[in-house]
Amino acid sequence: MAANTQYYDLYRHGSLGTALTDALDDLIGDERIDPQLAMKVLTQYDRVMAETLQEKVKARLTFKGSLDTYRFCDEVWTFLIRNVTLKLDNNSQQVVADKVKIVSCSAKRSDDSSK
Amino acid sequence: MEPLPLPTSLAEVEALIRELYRPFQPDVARIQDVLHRLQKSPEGWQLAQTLITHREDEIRFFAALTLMIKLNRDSASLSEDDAKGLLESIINWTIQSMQDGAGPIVTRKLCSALVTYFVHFSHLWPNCVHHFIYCLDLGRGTRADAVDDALASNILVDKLDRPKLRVAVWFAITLVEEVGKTDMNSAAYSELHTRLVKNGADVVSLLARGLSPPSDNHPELKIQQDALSCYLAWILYGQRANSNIDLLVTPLRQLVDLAMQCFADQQLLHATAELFSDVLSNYSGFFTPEHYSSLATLFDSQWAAQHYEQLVHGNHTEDGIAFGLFLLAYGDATVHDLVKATDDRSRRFLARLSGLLAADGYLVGEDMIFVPALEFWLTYIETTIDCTYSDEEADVAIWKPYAEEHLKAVIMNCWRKVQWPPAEVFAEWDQNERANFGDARKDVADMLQSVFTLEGLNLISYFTELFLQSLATQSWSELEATIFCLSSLSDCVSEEDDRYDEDLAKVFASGLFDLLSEAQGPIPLRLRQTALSLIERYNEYFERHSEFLPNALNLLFAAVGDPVLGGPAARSISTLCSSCRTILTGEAGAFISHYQTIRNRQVLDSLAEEKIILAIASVIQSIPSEDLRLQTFEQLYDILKKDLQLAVQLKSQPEILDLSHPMFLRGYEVTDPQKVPGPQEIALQIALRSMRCLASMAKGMQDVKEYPIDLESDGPQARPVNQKLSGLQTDIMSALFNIQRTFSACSEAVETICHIFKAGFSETEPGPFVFPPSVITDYFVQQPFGTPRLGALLSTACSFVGSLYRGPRAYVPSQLARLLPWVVGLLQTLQVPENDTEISQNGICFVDKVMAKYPDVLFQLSSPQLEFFFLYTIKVLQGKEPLPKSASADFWSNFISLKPEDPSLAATVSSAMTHLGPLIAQTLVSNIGGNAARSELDKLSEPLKKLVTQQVQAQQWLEAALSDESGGVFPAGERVSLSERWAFVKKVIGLRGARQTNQVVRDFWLLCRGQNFAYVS
Repeated sequence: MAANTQYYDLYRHGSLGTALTDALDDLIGDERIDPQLAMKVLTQYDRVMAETLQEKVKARLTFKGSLDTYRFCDEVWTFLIRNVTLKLDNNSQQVVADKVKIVSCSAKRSDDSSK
Repeated sequence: MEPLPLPTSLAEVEALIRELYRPFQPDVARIQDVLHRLQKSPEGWQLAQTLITHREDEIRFFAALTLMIKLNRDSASLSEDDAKGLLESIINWTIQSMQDGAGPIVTRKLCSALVTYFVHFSHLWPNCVHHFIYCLDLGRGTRADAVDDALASNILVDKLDRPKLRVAVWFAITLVEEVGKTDMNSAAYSELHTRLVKNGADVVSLLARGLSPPSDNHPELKIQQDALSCYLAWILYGQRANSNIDLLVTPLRQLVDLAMQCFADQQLLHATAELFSDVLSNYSGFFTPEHYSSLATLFDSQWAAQHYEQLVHGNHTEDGIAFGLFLLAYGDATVHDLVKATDDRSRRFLARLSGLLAADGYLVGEDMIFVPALEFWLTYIETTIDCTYSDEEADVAIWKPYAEEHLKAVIMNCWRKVQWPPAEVFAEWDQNERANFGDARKDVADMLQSVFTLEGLNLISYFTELFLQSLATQSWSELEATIFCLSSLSDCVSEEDDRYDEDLAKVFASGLFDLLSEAQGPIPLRLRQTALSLIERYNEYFERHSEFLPNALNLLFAAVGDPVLGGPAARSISTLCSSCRTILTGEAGAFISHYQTIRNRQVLDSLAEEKIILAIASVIQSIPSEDLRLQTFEQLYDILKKDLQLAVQLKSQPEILDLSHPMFLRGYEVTDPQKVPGPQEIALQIALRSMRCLASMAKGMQDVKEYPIDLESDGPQARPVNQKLSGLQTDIMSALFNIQRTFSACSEAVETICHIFKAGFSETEPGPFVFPPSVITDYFVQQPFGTPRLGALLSTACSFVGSLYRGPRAYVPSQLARLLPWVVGLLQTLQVPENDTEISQNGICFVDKVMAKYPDVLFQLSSPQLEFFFLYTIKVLQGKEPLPKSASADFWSNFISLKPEDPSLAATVSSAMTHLGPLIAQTLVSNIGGNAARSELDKLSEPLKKLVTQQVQAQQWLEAALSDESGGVFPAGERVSLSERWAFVKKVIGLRGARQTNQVVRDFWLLCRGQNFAYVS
């Protein structure tokens, strides 16, 4: 991917992202790094998460459920699914959830919509 | 380690720089530190100026780096005249470095220093590209405003010699890349970006020459390659600065034809293809319809045909792959048109793209184009599906036959590609190659599922026919691939359409399964594995067609003993038995005998055995007659019980160990033949293995049907107690106790007991693992503080409370009243929450669960215990451990909003709040005032919101806590003024517990911590 591609920051809200942010806060609090570096680390994290999930993670799952709500706003699809059965790789395990929310953003930048 | 002293002479500085860049220098950190101190010092400017003309590249590079550091740190201290003079100097040094033979790293670093200058002083150097080209032409630096009298940039560019042109291109690349890293939407950088965009026309002039073939015979490739990289960087920047289409993007578009001509040069193929692929993938709107037409013509040319042939016949070098990716990027960018295209040229192009799935070589180590090509076809299929449902039927009828024709070729090519290579080839592959091959097969499975949406039954029929053909010709690798493809469609097949079952019957009634049952038959191992997996994937089919079930299960049971097939076979047995349990009830006894026979013959893999036990238990669970069910259950349980007894006996009598006996071998896994474990270890392993089997049995005995629950029922359900059942339960409990007592230090035994209990908690109907609540309570309260995995036990106790709430009410208070003192007692013994965070967290969760429904039980605790618990949770809330802290925040959130109906209990709660309210407010203020981690703020906002909405004294308590100036309660007294603190309280009170409180809390936390923490968006 091109060097100056911008990445979504949505993975910052996951458990890895919040743990990283807490750790960066601690380092800034101890004056071991400055906020500019913390910002770069987070930008790097956004990139690595996006690339790793795209390129390295091969695990997959299938799911069945009832689509309750869906919307498409600002290039973001949101699906709310109820009574979901998730079937993990190799058919080995099933996970049941009452409600699952799927948020999906375009892998391409939104300004590439002219073609 | 002591820091190095600052150098006292220039020679010392030079020596340090040489040391810094010396390979394997062990002291690099200390050298870097001292040099960095020097660079940051006021003498840094002078240092850079002195070293920049040095003869050694490393020292000049360091000097250029020093310039950048000074510009970034101290540019504000430069006067305008100084800044203008500095620009002239840096340009002079850059030109000098180019002329006196310095290495490219020096000149490039000086270009970076110029860009750093532009970032800080763009207002003094707005036409940086034009001015830099002008200076290059002059051969020296001039003042920035001299550019007003200079010739136009396109004329100046033409005058530049090759080295100067190259430096100008380097500058243009660095410029766009570095400025592009700054935030375009920030007010601080908006002017910078506006000025950069205005340089676009000059960059186009520069690139027009840079991309052109050299006019003399000298190889100028390096410049063209750099120019291609520069062009790409500017295009992608132009995409982001999309409000400046006319100023930047339109001029950049003029260079497309020139860039396309670079394909003619074989040495530029890779760079050019990469440029076009990147732009097509990320900014396809950059190209105009005329450009797309030119590209289509290019792909239809002899040149493209030649490269394509090389690629599909194994040219997977960088150039070959780059060309393939270029084709695919074009396909991706025009996929909407391609789906509906019926013209010959488009069809030829798509035929080539499907041909990429049939390139020479095995996946993925040899054939690297397959996976990206398959990605394109996934997009194509998704687009076809969209168009099929969104277009008019008449239109679809025109283009769909062509699309189907392409898809047929795609499926056929993929089917060939997913066939396993011969064993000797596979054996040579490394771990990555094997994993990648497996992943590529999964990608094909995904693709087939997408195609199913379009083709449905046709696809199943297609593979059924292929299955029968391959079976008839005994083409095992083709047959394996066909079964794999059929397996991947199992989730798609509709049970409501009989036609699917008719097709599948041809597969399941075929001779393959007879061949599979022959132990020494011709079927290769890989095919056996895939065929067994097919049975598992189509378990729902077997529910509908029980006539095939016995054969399938026999086949699976026969494979259980196989070291390779045992695991998958056991898993398939478990899936089939679980989903077809009602059909198989008559076979339960036979299954137990089958299991016992296998067990007597050999030691099964532990996981496989657990699956088989689970399978048999799920069949037993479905036996309608309770007596027969319990009798069959006992048959299976007795086998495990004997194992458990043997473990206990071996522990006390080690001399009975006989490793020639299969019973003992169950506790001995040969990982290292040199190291034979002792009787104690074998006893423990036998016990654990049997406990895990018992846990599987408990899971298998869970009912899959749902029954209504009478939550209002006050007494135990009027159901006669089955003596047999109660005897079995007593027996199981006693066996569990016995194992825990015998292996008292074993944490896994405790964890497994927890799993067994939990399996019963979710049940509403009586069963051997659905123990009476008093039995579970008895078990818990007997566990002392030293029990291993106490945290897991407390977590199980939480689940137990949940299950009690789902049952009749009459049981509940008495059980809770016994459990609560036990839990608080454990926390008292623990004392310091950080000593075991799992105990802290689950202990608090438990009390929270009790309080939520039975607050009266909480207040039945003795006063010292109650007081201890309140202060303990406040201590946890002040601490740093995230999980107990979160549990404590939940507890206080619930406690503050507690509204018991009983007036005397309400008075007790109110009195407790009067005493504890100020303490809670202090703890929350301490956290929100900066002590909490950022991730904890949302959790901590909850008790704050409850405090504000439920307690009239909340404002007073919060203000008192915020008034603290000692730092003991409110840590940010020096940073946050009193008026800011009152404003915070006012906002929180005004919001009355609304969701926006979280943001107010977050803002206040940031205010208390300082702007250094505002780096997160």
